Amino acid sequence: MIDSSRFDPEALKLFLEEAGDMEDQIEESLLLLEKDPSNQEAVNTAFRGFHTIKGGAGMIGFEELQQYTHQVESLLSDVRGGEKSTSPELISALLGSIDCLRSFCKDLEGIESYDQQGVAASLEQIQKLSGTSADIGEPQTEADPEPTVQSEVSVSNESGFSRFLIELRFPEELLQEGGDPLLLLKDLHELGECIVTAHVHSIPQLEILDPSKLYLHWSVLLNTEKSEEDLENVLMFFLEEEGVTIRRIQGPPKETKAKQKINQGEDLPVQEDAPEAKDLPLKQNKETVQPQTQKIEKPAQPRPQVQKKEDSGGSIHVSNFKLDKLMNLVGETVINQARLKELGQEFRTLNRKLGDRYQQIIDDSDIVVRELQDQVMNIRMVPIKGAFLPLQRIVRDYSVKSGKKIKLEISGGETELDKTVSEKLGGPLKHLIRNAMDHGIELQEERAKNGKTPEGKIELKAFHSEGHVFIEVQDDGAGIDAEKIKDIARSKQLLDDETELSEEEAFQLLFLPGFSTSESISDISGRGVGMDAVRQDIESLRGAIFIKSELGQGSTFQIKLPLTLAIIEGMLVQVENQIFTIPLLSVLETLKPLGHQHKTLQKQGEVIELRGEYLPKLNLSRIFNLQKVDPPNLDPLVVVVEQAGERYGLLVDKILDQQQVVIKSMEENFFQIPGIAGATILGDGGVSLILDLPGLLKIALQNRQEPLEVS
Amino acid sequence: MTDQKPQENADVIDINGNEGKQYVSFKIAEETYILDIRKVREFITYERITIIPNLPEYYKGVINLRGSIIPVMDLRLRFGYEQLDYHERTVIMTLNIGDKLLGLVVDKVLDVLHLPEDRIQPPPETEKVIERQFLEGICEWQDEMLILINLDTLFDQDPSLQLIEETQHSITPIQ
Repeated sequence: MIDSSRFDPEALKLFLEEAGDMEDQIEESLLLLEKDPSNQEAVNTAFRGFHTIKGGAGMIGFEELQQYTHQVESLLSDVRGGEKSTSPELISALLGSIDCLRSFCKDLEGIESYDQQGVAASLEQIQKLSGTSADIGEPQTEADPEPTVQSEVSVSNESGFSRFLIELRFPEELLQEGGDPLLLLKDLHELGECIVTAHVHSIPQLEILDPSKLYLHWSVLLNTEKSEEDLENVLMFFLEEEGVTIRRIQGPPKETKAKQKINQGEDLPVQEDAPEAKDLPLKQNKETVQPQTQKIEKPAQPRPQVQKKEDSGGSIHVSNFKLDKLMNLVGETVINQARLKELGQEFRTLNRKLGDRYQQIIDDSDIVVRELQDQVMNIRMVPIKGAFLPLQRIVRDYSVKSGKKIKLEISGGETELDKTVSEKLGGPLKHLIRNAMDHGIELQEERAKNGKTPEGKIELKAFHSEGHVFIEVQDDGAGIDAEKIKDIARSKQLLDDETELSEEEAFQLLFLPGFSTSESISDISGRGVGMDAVRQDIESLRGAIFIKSELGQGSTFQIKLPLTLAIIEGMLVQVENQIFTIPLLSVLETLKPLGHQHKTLQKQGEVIELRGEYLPKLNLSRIFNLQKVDPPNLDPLVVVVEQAGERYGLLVDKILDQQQVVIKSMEENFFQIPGIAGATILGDGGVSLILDLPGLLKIALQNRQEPLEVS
Repeated sequence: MTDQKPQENADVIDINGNEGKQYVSFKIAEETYILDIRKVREFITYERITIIPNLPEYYKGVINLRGSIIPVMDLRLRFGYEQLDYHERTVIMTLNIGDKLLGLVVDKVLDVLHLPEDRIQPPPETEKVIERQFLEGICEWQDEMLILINLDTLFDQDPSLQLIEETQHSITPIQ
């Protein structure tokens, strides 16, 4: 194991978070690149990713990783520059290096030691691919590379060179925060010929000089054949700083021969961290820059802290804890708002005019508070892409290994849903995709026989609809044979011989825990390996899963999920003098049963007859041992709920309302209570418990032995 | 919770707060109990409470404390006394226990006292008023016996609750 205690824990945490994001991004872009080798943006993204990780590794002081990423970065740099072209071998090697990075990160997290052999093998592969030029730290000679190579690969869409004036004014704290302007200057050098001028006017008197502060700023005149975009890529982490600007300068570029490559590791005659020096004529070239000096001369203004950027959009990591706190506060504000509103009504009866004015203010602030609530909720929302990314890799690797040609088409990756939901989706999705590849998509010969394209297709779609997120995994494979499923179910005694099932009901059998055992699966239509686990995962996210399939045409697994776990649509019901919330997702209907619908069956106990079907009756008052109100309600209502494919009738006294409720955890200050999923705060500040149907059922089952009460 | 240095002569205690630790005192039945004031977060009036099903009777339910759901325990019942009727002056004392919040209903909150720590003695073997498990110590103070409560045991000495915590997801009826 790497001794991660030698790293600063805070910096390490930041690094790991950042590296995780980067790894995903790189992987995605590599897969894109494999599909479209001309995708320059993908190369750039991958390069930036490795570069960022390298920088991060340097920041925490993890040389091993820094050197490793440096090698990969050099290779990618050649790809970017066109010296190397993309090949499947190259992509595999780069993908392999992602695995190595992840392995390093896992080690740093203390999960498991990193795969030394893997890293060594990967390193060897990378070095082999990059040829001789990849030796660490050895600067490439000044000799100009072959001009022909240059022109071949130029990404710039303009012919020839352009000149940019770049001003670099960083916050004074940059050095303290681990930033290093020298690296940036080096990167700029890689783009083309640079003329760097350091501005030293801001260096204070020696006695007040703080050696850890950055007093310098720079003007760089860059003569490059790269595009402005490339330049922005290099500066991307800094572009949001108000002191960092890029300006294109008109006029003929100096000389075309200027193109030079300066590799990492070369010493530039530029220093940035020696403020004690009296004079810093950091001019690489005698030529004077004509920058907007008046602007530069301005005294350094205090600037906001440099924040860690994780992607080009610029974002920050925030702990869930802080978010939850914020959510809590907003929730409280909403409730207070409701109370103020009530007060407004009273005002109005006392003094109409004042009351109206008050009401106006409340109405205004109402809009703001709602917006605030929406925005805070929104923070938790992330694009589902994160859950989709690993799947691309799985499909690719499977294709390579199995020889089945399969293409994964993803759409709707931007669809947003709650972060927690997205994180927990990975497992079930992986399972569905694997199943589709294993059992759905046929072998090539078979596909040819059925007149299908040799390449199998799996479509992965996400979209919003009806206030939910839908995710579909659709393959164009063999489809599921409902008859065969029924046969298997019968052979496993999961289904008796008499029961007739519709196709849809037959598919549901796949989700039964006992259904899937390996020997029965692969030769048949094949779905069902661990499908009960998939359903459980989805249901734990308060979602549902459906199957559509047409024999010979393929199958679709559709997952329906709530937008967020923090809020549910709930039905507020009263039982005795308590108000409970039933998750609306489970509610099928409500009814007021007539006397004859209440029945007691020998086998099932108390039931409610509903259209010829008998639903087990769940008497909430009894299950929860609630204090009976006087006089007792002899005419209860029934809320029909569905849980794990079974329907039940919950007896309640009143149905009060149907509304969105914010879920609060009981465990935060207490512990989990059987039959209770959580609590929510009502408009009047009171607390309502949210029912947990699986838990309720268990209690009810245990109470079965008790004598039945006939209502 | 005072910055001043303890006096040499600990027999004389200044009520204005230059001696020892601060405690909140309150009454349950005939006894006066004390709690480290640093554990006490605030006092709130007893309002509508949502019962939690199938828990021991001394858990009165949960309340909403500015967005957090916190359980409320009636200490009187916890100690095995008969329940008193609640009225508009019944208060809930909210406490920090570890990283959790708990509301306690007591008969009556009395005062804030400064007591030198060495005045607090281990509980006598024969203490019978309440079970020894709840006691951390006793303190004789102005002709009165003050009982220091061991907060940690309020939660975890209850076997049925432990059962819930251990078997978080399995359902065990608590009766």
